Amino acid sequence: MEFLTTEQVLALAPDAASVKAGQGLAGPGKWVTLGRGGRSVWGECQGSGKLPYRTQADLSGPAFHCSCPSRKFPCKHGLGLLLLLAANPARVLETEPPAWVAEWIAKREAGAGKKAPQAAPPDAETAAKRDADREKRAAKREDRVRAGLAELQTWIGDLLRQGLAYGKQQPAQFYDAMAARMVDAQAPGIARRLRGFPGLFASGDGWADRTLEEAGALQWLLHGFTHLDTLPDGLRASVRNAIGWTVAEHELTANKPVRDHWQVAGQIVEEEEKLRVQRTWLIGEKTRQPALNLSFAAMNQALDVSLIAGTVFEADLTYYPSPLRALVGERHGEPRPLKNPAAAAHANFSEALDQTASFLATDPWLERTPWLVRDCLPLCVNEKWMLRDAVGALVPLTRTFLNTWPLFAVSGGAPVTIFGEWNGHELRPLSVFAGDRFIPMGGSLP
Amino acid sequence: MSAWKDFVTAALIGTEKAALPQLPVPLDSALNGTVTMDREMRFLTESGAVALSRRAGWKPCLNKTEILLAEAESTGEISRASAMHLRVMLGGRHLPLLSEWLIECARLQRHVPAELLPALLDRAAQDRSLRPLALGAGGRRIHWLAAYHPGWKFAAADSPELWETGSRDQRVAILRALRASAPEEARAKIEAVWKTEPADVRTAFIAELLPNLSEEEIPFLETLLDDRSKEVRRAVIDLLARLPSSPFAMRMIGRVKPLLVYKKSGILSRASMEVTLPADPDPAGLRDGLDSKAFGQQKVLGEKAVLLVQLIASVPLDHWGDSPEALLKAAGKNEFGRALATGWTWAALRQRDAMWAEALLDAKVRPHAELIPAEPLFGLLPEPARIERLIAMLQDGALKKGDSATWHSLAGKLAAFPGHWPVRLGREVLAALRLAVHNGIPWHLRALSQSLLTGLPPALLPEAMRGWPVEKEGVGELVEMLTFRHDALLAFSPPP
Repeated sequence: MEFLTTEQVLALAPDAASVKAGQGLAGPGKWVTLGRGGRSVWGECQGSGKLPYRTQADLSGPAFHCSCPSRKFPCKHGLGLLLLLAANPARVLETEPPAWVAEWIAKREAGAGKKAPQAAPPDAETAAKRDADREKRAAKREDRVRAGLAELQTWIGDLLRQGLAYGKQQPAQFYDAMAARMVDAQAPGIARRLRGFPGLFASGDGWADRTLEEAGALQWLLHGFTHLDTLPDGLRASVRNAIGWTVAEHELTANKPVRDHWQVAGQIVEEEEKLRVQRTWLIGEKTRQPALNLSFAAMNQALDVSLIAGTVFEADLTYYPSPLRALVGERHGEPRPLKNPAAAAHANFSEALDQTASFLATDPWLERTPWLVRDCLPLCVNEKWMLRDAVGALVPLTRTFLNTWPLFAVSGGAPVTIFGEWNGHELRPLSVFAGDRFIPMGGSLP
Repeated sequence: MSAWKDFVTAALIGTEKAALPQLPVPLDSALNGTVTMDREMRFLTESGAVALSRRAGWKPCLNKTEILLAEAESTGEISRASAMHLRVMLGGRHLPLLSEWLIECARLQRHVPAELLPALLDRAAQDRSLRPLALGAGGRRIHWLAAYHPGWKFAAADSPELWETGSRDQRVAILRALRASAPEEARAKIEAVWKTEPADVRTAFIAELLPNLSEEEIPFLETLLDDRSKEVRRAVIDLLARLPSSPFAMRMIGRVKPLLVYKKSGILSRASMEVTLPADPDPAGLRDGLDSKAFGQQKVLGEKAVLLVQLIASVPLDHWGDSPEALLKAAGKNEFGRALATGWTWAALRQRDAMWAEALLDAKVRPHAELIPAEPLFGLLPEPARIERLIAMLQDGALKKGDSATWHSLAGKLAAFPGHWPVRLGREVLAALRLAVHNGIPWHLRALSQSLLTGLPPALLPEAMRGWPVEKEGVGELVEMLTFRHDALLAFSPPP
């Protein structure tokens, strides 16, 4: 079976400290025993304690299990084990799994069979009561949101009456307090956008443009909520989604799953309010449609590590009522490495912008859209990093993108295929394809 | 879109004071509902609409900046496993192993993946000794890349004008490369610009004549004895003293002859050395660099004795007409014996004389190490002699755990080996280290034990990785480093 590459394993690390610690365990010196068989790899790692930690991974997941007390997931031992396998497969020989490994595998297999337990359908009376309760709760929430958004209308009107120059001088608490109010009003999507205001004010050249654009987007969200009942389905879903209503997975059953080979074109983990958010971008090989998979985790807790950048897997995918967000359902077979996807890529920025415009038509509140564009040349113009496409058009890279030089180095002055996130002004590259190599650029190098 | 600019200006000032801007025509008709709204809501609604239409219709600007195309590589890229090892080192772990890894990479004619070149160049920018090694392992891409970054100019491909416009370091690098391949051209380059260069540049240039130094240099060097700068004159004398056929050496022989009278041992007499201290130097002597304050403030030797040391250090060693052992034995009986030994040590180092080096290391009479350190003499010995001496030293048990000075001297001597040490020697070093760390690594051996294991011949690594008391303080890291080194070297040529 194909082992994960070093880059893919590093992409699983929950934070930079784990990368370092995992690399420290990637040599066989610390491992008392090592072995692999089938989809499993395991080892006993001598830590500071008396007994070595028992670490194992299921490569098809990948899933991890370790006897160490770490709360991180995967822990450094799990990372070290897979890094060792990636760098030095000859060190990990195929053998019979010991009892502690066999047990875990058996448990996992049993678990997979048990998945989706079918609860007995409730009788008509309970069902009716449950529906009534749900409707009551929904109506209550809608009232709260309505009251909250009315306050927001006054607040944002005041802000604009006094001007953005005045708004820039306000302390961060000014925005955080309003964000907290929106959390109370059960509009977390709006709260998140309000917390972004201090960052917009501090974002350098063009801050007023960006802030006014954001304020305008909020105003339109307020209008959208007022006219929710008269909106077409797609737009109504976008408004609700932007305000912060979530769609439970079981509510997605109305949408037909799309089966395709999904290329994991890029992945990035960002921190938001003590929460780690992982965005995994998929592109269907047949449909050519992008999809966004989100995974959330409290600090040190597990993100979904089963989608690995630079691989392709076959699966049923269900889109949310939104042009991009989707849920990965049943998978078919093993993932394989992703080679150059230039065939699925846009030929230039203008094509990518057209696609972005069509996404914005369904959901004007999209904060970022995926771009896969071939023949991009990275270059630095007047100390600003840009990409230039085949027809000579320029788009700027985000200032927070750290890997400008590695990206430039990989290009060697020749155009490359780039996958990134477009925020309406700037592109943040997440991956680059050079020859048949896939190089993730979302994290830090080295 | 200028309408957007009007909206931003109004937003900055605030709608209380600013007039509401005009909507662009196509949006105006689509948004006729806004007139009934209050002033702020209307402004925000219209701003949002203009912003969205602007975002949906964003047009990139055009640009034609030229970026040169990097040449295709002529070597193969390292394996993924090797790239992983490099990543770890560039991230700061096992950094002392980076030099060896880069040398091995270059030797096997491989190059590192482009995305790691920026981190490699950053390391090389901080650590000069890594620069040639980084260039060797960076493929053609590294030269291409470095040309675009001001901090990496040291790695950029040479351009013909660099000799005229480059920094001192860059020009020295050009000279060094030229001196290695065409020594005379390098000298001609220096001669051509000599008159117009400042003293610090002249001093740096003169030092580059040392590799491939030959008699061809003598006429140029002799003229430089009249240079304005004392630093330059000092560097020139150091070179002339290495050329036994130079007029400078002849003049020095002339001066020393009346001062030192050596009588070989005869049938009835033992060898003897009579020493007369030199007088204050005349103008010709001053021109040849004689200076009673040559060692600055020191209390070891008097001013006249300092002049004697300088004279002896500038005389060709075969002038003395007897074996070094006999001469040193005779000198040992004289009150100025240590001064003589100091002068000969200096001369042996300048003239790279192995026979004298061996005799000086074994002689009873010791040179004044405060003035001229004798340790580098070891590096002049032929390799077999060095190996035997080191093995004797290690087996002798002379190396006590707490004796940090001897350990450092050992490390210095080992570092003088080009490439890896012979396996036999490596095994002795390993045995001594195992003994020293069996209770944990003493703090003064921390860095040292790491650098010793870095030099261990790779053939020894499989046995070197085993049998350490890993639970003891610091030993675990040591073993980890050894294992990493073993794996990293192995990854270049994995077993079939």
